[in-house]
Amino acid sequence: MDGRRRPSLRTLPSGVPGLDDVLGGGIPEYSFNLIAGEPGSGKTTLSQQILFANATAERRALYFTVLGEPALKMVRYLQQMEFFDAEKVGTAIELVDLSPDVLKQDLGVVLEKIVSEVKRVAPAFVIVDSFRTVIRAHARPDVGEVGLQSFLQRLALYLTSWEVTSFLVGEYLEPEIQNNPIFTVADGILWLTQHTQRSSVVRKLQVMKLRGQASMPGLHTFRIDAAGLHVFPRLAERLGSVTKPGPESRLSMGCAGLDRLLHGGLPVGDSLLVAGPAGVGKTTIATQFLASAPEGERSVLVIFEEQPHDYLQRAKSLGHDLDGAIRRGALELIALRPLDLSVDETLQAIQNAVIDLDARRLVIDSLTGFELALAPPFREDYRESLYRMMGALSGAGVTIVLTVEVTEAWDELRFSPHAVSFLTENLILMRYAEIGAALKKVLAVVKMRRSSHSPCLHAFDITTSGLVVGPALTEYGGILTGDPRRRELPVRPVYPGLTEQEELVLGNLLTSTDATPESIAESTGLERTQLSRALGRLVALNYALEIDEGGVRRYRPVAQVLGQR
Amino acid sequence: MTESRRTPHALSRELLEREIDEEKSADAIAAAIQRGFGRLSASLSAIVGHEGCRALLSRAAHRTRPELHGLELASGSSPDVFSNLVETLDRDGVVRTTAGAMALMTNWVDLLCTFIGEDLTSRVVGRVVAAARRGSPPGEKAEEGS
Repeated sequence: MDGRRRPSLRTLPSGVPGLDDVLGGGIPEYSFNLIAGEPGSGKTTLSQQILFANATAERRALYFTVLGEPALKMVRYLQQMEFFDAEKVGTAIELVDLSPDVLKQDLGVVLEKIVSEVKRVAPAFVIVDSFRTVIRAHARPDVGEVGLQSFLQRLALYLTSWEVTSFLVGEYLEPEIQNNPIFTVADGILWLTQHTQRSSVVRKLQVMKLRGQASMPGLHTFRIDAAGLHVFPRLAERLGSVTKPGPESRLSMGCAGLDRLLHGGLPVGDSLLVAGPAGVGKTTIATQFLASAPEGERSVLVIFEEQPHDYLQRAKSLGHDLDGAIRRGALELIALRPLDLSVDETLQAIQNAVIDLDARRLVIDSLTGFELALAPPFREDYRESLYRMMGALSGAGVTIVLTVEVTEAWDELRFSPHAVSFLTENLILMRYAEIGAALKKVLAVVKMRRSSHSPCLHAFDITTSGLVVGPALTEYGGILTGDPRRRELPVRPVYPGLTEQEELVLGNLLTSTDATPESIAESTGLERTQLSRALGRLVALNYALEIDEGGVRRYRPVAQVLGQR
Repeated sequence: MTESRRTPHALSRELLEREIDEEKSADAIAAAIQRGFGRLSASLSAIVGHEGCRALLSRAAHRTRPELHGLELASGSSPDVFSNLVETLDRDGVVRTTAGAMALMTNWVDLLCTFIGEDLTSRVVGRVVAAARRGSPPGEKAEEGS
């Protein structure tokens, strides 16, 4: 710091939700701004929303209309917006038709008219809509670029020196940025676009330039509805970071069997992806996780595919009163179904709910539905957006359970359709498998970044009391292929009534071709007396026969004698 | 009854009646009618523009034609609203002419309600009536808006 005080740049609230964040605090006071974009992109609505938010009887506004939408029609449609305040029209906000002056094709006349009106009203805000029309009307060779730039500079200087915050509204195309002097003179440029892809319309706003303060870079989605514009900043607002508790702090999944597989539950502040095919039980896990929240802990549930009523009914059939939790204020359910949501809009809805409720648990059921609910252009940025969302939420210590539908593919192991499994610290895979001519459900904990976990695949059932995890399926192999085979384990024969030594001798008889007492003693390591006693018992119990072959005693197992070896 | 609760039609009737009030001569009555229409026209121009204001008045005149008995609107550039008001008063008398002007005002306000809504129309006409009560000259926007 050089010790000199910088003049403060006061900002004005735009009155547009989300826009002040994008602008880096608000609209710089006395700035000369351009709101540009193609027809229908929302320029006029944006300028009017700013005007109605700021204009008062003490800080009046002048709205110059120019040959575009007649003021009569503009006022008619403007009244449909919730920000419209009839009391301000004609008092705090005065509309002036600049068309007659523009038609005189003399920029000096236009400037003179604007100046005289500014002197008369002494406004704090001025809007010229459409400024493009003013310029078009003077697109003559004798005016030229220099003449236009001079007009713009005089206008900007005049409005600023009269302490006016001004907005010029106009239809411009991106290639014009290079050559049109208005882009040089303007202090701030807000560029609005709208793209239609398939059946969805996506609107975006970009602060292309803003002198004096750091705005948020990039394209930000916005929506226009009866309330006006709502901007959804691209960069997720940090929810405030907390130090993640150690992995010993766990949250129960609401299912003892599952907690065992996770070696004590889900680490607090972690995220878990539950992947599996339709109907396998992902939502049951999510529901039990929510239902197991202790008294006083709040949660947020985001659903996309199902109707809230159906979802809550299903939870009730498992014995979980999520409906009651909602009524108590312990759970907020966000149901998003439209097919033209933007990622940022969705993200903000979720974040706001988490902040407002101070939620500690979040369930998004499912990412598949989330992706489907997005307008097609946003699906391309799906993973990046998801990454930002996870970072923002888990950084705030929220424990997250996400579900994702995976199409069964027996020849490969897929955790998620768009490789989103890397986003979470923990992953549970659920599958169907054919075991004993029946379709069984199996699950496994695939990864836990901060904890050990069961490595085994387990069968499970969805019962009326929820998910019940069965024993590890150790006797099967190839479960993940969908075609498990029972392992061929060496079967240890059972010989009733035999001691361990006698079983050892019998085993030797069964494999030996020359079972003399000497050879048996050699291969079993038994002493003569022990061997003699064992052989005597085997013969007595009819497990073996003693055969005398030319003075040589040999022993044969009964099974071998019978040719069943 | 507060201004905001009165219908714009009631307010507009008051506007004309207040202007005409005790005027006796045809010239004075003509000037009063011009003044009443002029007040509303000036105030409306600041909201729907001069062209918008004239367009609605022209449409209202068309709807009121049978009751106007030949009363004509002046051209857009004229400071007056009517071009032959004195002649009409002389020919048809005060009662018939003022009834025609009142019908025109009613239709004008009707159209305003259709286009800019009853709430905004009430406020605009209410401000004009308030300015007339104070005796402010027509076209003083700041005074009307205060």
